[in-house]
Amino acid sequence: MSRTEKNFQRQLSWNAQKTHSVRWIFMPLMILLAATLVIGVVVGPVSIPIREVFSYLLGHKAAIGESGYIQHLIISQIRLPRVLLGLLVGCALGISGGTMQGVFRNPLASPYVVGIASGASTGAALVILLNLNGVAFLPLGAFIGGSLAVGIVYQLARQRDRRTSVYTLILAGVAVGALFSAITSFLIFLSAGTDRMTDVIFWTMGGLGRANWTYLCVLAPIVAVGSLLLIAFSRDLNALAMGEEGAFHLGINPEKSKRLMLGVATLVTSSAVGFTGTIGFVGLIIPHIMRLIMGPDHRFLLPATAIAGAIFLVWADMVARTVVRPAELPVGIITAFLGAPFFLYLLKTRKVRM
Amino acid sequence: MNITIEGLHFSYGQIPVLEEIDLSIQKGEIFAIVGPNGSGKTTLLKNISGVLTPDKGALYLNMRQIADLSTWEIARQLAMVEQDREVGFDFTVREVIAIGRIPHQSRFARENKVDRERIEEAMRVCSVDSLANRLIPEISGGERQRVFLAMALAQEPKVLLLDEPTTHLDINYQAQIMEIIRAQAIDGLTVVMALHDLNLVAQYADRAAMLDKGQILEIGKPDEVLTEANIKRVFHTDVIVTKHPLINSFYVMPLTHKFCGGQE
Repeated sequence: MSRTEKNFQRQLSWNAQKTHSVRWIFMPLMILLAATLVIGVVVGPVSIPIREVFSYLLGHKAAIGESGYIQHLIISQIRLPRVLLGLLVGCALGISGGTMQGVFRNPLASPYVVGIASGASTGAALVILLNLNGVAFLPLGAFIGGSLAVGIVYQLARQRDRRTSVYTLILAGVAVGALFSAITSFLIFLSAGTDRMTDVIFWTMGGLGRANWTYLCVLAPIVAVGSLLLIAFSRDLNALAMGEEGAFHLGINPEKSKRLMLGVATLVTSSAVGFTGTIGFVGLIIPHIMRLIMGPDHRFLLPATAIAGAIFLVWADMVARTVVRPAELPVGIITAFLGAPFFLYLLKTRKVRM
Repeated sequence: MNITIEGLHFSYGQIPVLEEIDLSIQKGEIFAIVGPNGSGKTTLLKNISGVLTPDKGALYLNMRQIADLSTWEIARQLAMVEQDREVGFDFTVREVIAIGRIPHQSRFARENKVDRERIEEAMRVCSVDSLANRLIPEISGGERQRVFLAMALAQEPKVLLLDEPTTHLDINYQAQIMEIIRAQAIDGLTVVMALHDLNLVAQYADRAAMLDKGQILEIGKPDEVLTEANIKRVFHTDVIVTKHPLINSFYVMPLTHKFCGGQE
């Protein structure tokens, strides 16, 4: 290829890329988020007119006995908690996925891949089987199980030269995940015949069906504070993209900030997953898609993954509860249906740099 | 900014890598560290940058001991371009250079006017402004090295450490990089670099230190350090060191068997 041709091609690819102009994306995301909130409440087995949704959201009271009263009841007790739980969990999974990909400097990392989900399942299964009551136990058990799994995978994937290799990471994630899944299956086996068994099985499939206001009150502060913390540390991820030594030369202690971010992401993910059961692939595909759209600057990427994750999960849940009406699918099945092929596609086409 | 090193020892586990290093480097100086592979050049740079902590001895930046400075304080005065840096994710050139501003920004700050000016100046100095929107994995090795140099300059360092900045680069890029560095040193930047290429040392360094198995064999002006005897002793190679007929510098040429009249 001649020099001019090369220059011309360069010019072309430059024009195609433009800048990663980033801020424009937040406006459409916010609009979509608001629309998702409303549509999520409208869609369901009993159709609720959009007028009633607004009337409820704006705080109007409906008189007892009117059809509006039933509709308000459905909104307040079923639909709205479910949509809000979907938003919170999607936000948690999206931002944690973005964070983990940054910490491991690897676009294939996700809460699922690094074993949080399996670890959290085991923890939650244990809590269910031991019949520990109290709304805080589920996320707590999930958090302990999840951190254990991440801790093991993180230690295994770090090599002597302190780089995390993608192969070791995924292999370690698979192995640790399999180990924890085996423990969970063993726990299910032990509980065979009791009604707790169905609880555990349901939990491992993942779904937003059990949403209620108590869950929301526990989860909302954890997700909110965790997400803000992650966003506050997002520029550390930009520095870490230059390698651990590169980050050090930018004034950031790489080990400290990696541990902190991984810890917060684990907390946020496992407490979300503690209420809903494992929902895979949101944390993988959402950060990836957002990075393709807006570039890898984590200061903008993390907030965007939080919002996009929330939107995505509510839509996936709408699909889950409408495709086999009047029954509903666990939302984890829908996200896996969308996510697994996408993951394979990434493995096949994207150059995995590490 | 001056760098002073006193009686530095460093070992990886049981294996001693640096022994009894004494050095003092002046503001605005280009100081080269030469020596064969494994002689401890990179380790010495990492001790100066604070990534590694010496077993014994002390390092000072302008009379302040590096061990007493926080990572943050070091980053505001010292930048380093490591060898073979790899960038995770497909950042654009400009984004990478902007990351160099981190030590001067508070946690939530967005890019302000000063940041923008420094970034643009660094891009101009390293002639990467035309690459601003290209992605890091797409540009050539020589361009990438200039981008990392621009990122380091955007950091407004007083001390710049470079580990083999010219390896894998074509000869035109090598000269380009060294000219940029020289211009910065004239403006008062202290530059310490590990260099393989002895001819670049001869041409661009103000002073050099030759390392031999973790110890300093000789410190001085390039022509005092790069002597035929020293090179023979450290690199086990016969060379001719001659004054260049055209430029005010000398050059080092390895003597192969053939030139000595032997058989191939």
